[in-house]
Amino acid sequence: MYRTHYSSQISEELDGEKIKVAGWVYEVKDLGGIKFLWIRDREGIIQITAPKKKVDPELFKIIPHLNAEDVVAVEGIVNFTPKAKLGFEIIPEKLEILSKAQSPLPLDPSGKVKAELDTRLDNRFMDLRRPDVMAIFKIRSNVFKAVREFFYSEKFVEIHTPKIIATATEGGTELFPMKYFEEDAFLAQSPQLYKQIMMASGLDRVFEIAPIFRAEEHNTTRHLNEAWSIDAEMAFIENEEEVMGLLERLVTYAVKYIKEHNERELEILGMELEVPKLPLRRISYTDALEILNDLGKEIPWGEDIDTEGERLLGSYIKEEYGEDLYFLYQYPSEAKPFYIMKYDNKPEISRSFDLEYRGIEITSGGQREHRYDILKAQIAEKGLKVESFEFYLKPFRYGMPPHGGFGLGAERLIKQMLNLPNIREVILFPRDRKRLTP
Amino acid sequence: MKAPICEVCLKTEDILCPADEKKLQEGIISELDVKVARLLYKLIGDADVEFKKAVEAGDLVVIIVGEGQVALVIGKGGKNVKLLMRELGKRVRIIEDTKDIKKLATDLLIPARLFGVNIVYKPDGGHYYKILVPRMDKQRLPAPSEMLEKIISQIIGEDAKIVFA
Repeated sequence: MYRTHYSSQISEELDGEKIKVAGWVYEVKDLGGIKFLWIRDREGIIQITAPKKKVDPELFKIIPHLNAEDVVAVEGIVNFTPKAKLGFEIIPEKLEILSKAQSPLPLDPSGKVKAELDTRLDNRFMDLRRPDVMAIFKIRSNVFKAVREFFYSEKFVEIHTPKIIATATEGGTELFPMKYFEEDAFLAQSPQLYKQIMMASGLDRVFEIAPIFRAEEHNTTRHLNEAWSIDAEMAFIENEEEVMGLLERLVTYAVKYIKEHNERELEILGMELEVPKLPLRRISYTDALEILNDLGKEIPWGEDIDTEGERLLGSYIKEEYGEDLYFLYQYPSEAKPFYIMKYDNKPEISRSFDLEYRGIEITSGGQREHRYDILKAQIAEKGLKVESFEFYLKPFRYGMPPHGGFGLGAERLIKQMLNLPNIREVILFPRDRKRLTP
Repeated sequence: MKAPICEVCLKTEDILCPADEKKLQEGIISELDVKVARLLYKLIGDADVEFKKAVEAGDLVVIIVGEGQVALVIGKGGKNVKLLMRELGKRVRIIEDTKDIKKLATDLLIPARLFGVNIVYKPDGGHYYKILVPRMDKQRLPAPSEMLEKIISQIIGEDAKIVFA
C-alpha cells in the first residue's frame, strides 16, 4: 500500500518513525533552500517539509513542479515540531507522483472560490474533496450504520423487495414506466405492499433500506426523483403508538450516534446537534389546524397541511418548546392511503402519523388495516379496483397479524439533521427533474 | 381559414353538407365546433388561420387554433374575442394547438403558474395527468379547477386532474 497512515492517525508516538502517506496536492511553497508540500487525504492535511540539505536532490527538484490536485505518495520520517503549523511535519525520503491533475481545475477544492450547486454536482468527485462536503457523506454513512445497528438491536430482519413492479401500488402514483421484456413495468415508488406481505410470513419485524423512484415534476429543495427510503414494518402491535415509539427511538439513536461519532465532521459543518428528549411531542392533526388557525393560516379539516403550514408549525414548535422533532398524528382517513387503519369508533380519523423535523415531513407511517373485509372495502372506497390488488390481498386471507410501520426518507432525515438548505447536498448524484448525469 | 367543416358549410348558416353532417353524427366534430367555425369565419374570413376545435365547460369556451395564430384570432385589442363572447354568451379563451400537455396547461391556466405535469399510473393499468399548480395560485386560475380539468380532458382525450401543491 502507498499509505500506512491517514493524517488523523499521526500522533506523537510516531515521532521519528518512518511512515507512508498519500493524497492530493493541496499547496506547494518554494522558499529556495526549503520546500513545503501540503497534501490532503480523507482525514485532513499533512505537511511535507523538504530542506535541501536533508532530502534527496531529485526529490527536492520535483516538489516545485507539482500541481494542485496531483496524486502523490510520500514516504518519510515524522517530525513533531512546534514550528510546523499542524504540530508535525514529514521529512520525505521518497516521493512518487501517482497521477497528474490537469489545469485549470473544474472546481476549487478548497472552497475558497464559490461555485454554483449545479457546477459542483457536475464535478461531484472534486466537490467531495472539500472537507465540508465530504463531512456530509461521512455523516450519511454513519446514519445508515446507526439505523442498521438500531434495527438489528430491536430484532428486525433486513429484507430486499423488488424494485421493478408490474402495476402501480398504493392506488395510483407518479411512476417511471419501463419495459420489462414484452411487458410494461415500473420502478417501485415504495416497498409498502411488499413489506406488509412480509407480515404474513412470520418474519414479524422487517426493515429495508433501498432506493425509491417517483416521477414527480417537483423541482424543489426537498424532493428527489430517486431517494433512499428506510422502511420498517412490525407485526403484533396493538396500536400505532407502538410504531411511533420505535420510530422516535430510531431517529434519536441516529442523532446521538452522529453526535458521538462524527464530532469532527459536525465541527467542520459548524453544527451542534441536540439529541431530542423522548417522548417526542405528539400533536393531533386537528390540534395542528387550530395552531395554524391561530397563526393566521386557515386549512379546512380534511385537507393536507401544505409546505407553508408545515414550516409555520415547525417554527411555532421551536419557538414555543425549543423542539425540532415532533409527531403529527391522527390524520383524516380521507387524506391517507387505503391501507391505513381507521379508528373503529371514529372512522373519519386514521391511525396514521408523520414525523416532522424542523418543519419538514421526514416520515409517514401508521397502523395498517389487517382485516381482510375492511381492507377490501377501504380499497373500493378510494375508487380503486379490488381485483388489481389480488397479489397484495391474498396473504390477508391466510392469517395476517395486526401490524404497522413507516417509511423514513434518508435524505430528508440527513438534510434536516444538518440543517442544510437543499436535499441535493446529501446525495452523491441527485436525480431530479433535470439531472440524469453524472 | 381552415376548419373542421368545409368552406361551403362555413359560409352557410343552418344546414351542413352530408359529409360534415356525418362527422357531426359520428362525434368527430361537435355542434360547438360548427358554431365557432362559422363565427370565426365571419370575423376573419380567409385569413391564414386553422381552427382546430372548441371545447366548453361551465361558462368557458376554449378555442384551439394553429401554432402562432392566437394573436390573429384574438384580433386588435381583443376585438374578435369580444364579439365571440357576445355571440356565445360565454367567456372565451384562445389557445394554440399542441401535443405537449405541459404547454397546453400553461396556456390554459395563465395567469396561474404551473409546477409541472405528472402522469399518475393507476393499479388497473390506466393513467391520468396530474397538473400541479402552486397552492397560492389557486385564485389566479381563469376558471374553477373542475371546469379546467374537464376542458383539458376534452382536448387531450385523457383524464386530467389539477392538484394544488
